[in-house]
Amino acid sequence: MILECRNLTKTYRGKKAVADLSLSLENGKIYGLLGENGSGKTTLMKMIAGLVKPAEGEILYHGHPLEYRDKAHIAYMSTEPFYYDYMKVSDVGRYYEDFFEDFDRKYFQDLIGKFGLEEGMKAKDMSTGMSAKLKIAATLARKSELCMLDEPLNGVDYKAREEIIALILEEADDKRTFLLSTHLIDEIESFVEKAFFIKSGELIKGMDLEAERMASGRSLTDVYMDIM
Amino acid sequence: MGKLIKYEWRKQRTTRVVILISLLVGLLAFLWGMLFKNDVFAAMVLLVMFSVSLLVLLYTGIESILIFNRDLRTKQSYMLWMVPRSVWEIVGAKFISAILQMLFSFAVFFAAGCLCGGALLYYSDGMKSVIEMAQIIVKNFFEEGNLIDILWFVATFVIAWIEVIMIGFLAVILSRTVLLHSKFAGLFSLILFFVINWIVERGYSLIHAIPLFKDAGNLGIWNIWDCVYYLLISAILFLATGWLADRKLSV
Repeated sequence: MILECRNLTKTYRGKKAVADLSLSLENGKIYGLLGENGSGKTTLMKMIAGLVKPAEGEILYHGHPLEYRDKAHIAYMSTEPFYYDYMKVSDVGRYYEDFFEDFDRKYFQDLIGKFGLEEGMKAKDMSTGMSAKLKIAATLARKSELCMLDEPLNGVDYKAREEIIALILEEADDKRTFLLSTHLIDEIESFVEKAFFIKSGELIKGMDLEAERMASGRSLTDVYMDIM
Repeated sequence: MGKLIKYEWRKQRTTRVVILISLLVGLLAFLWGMLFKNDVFAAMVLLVMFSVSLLVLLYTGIESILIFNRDLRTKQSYMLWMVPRSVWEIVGAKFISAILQMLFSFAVFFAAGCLCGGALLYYSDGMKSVIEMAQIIVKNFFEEGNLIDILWFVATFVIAWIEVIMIGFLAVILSRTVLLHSKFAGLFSLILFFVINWIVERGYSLIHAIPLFKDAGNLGIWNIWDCVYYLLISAILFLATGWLADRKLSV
């Protein structure tokens, strides 16, 4: 097991964004984190990324309480752009190279070329789609053990969406774990191995897709519509 | 920590460029006054440059606080807090970067002042007077020990200002942690900034009421205990800021 969340709770202005949530992630699997807007998916990911402190509960990474050193092995891509205003695409690559030993600069350059981006482009002037591609390229160029992508398919065109999915599949192996949050359930159904359904900050269901299909014949979308 | 400082330093590059351009304009204006024998104009330029140097020193410190606030308030905070570095390294890099920025501003204005002073002497009495003035400075500052006093005075001023910047950092971190859910977090942190400042200055006054500390003053311009006091307070503020960030901060 790579990661375990135990009874996580996070409260914002008296409202529980994440409520007593427990889940665990195994090595080398692709997980989907599904839920409506404001259900707590992003807060959960940010807690695992070490950006948000849980009010209660704990996160264990390889069995020990999550600490700042673990950020070297956990990549997180937020749904919003977050690069410094002055940064160009090349600066983003340099920054990741400076701070993350698992960052592959050459692969990053290959990816930005593949996505039609240029090193001299300014991150803050990019369109939503281009910005999403830059975030994906930087995050996937880290060969991290755990890779969390928050709405990676948001704001990107169909072709880029297919490219991103192909990249995730290319990167996924028995050493890397992926946790993806998305609204586009149809898009991830074909490759996600396990899904977590979150509603009002609570984990409603954890579902092994293959087992569910075998047992009930229901698709991920069917289950989602039933639960949500 | 070097890499963190490098990126913190980069954030104030625009300010540094503006400072250097302003300085260049000032120097050219001064040179113009010298060349065309307009002493009043040249003297006014010098006065303005001296006043601006103090303002720049104050502004660069305040800008560091504003950047710290932005780094916690916006999504750009992820850039800093997602890296595998301890809170102490991150906050420490911010402090060091703020100090370096202030020292840089001070150094360039000091150099410009020396340049103007030298030029003034050269144009009024020739190279001989520049050499004479240099000898006087060396004699007064190095041989008679006045330089040490001047340096201590400058050091005390800089340390006292660093301590004020650290109060600003603490106020920012308070507004983003314990006061986060308050509607008036910004206002509260501003009030806290002044309250902490007032407390620190009260402590300073109390120390100066003790003869042992008061009598340690040299030439009435610096006192070793002032430096010790402000350094101690700065260390406490740093620890409080780091502790709060470590325990409470969510971005």
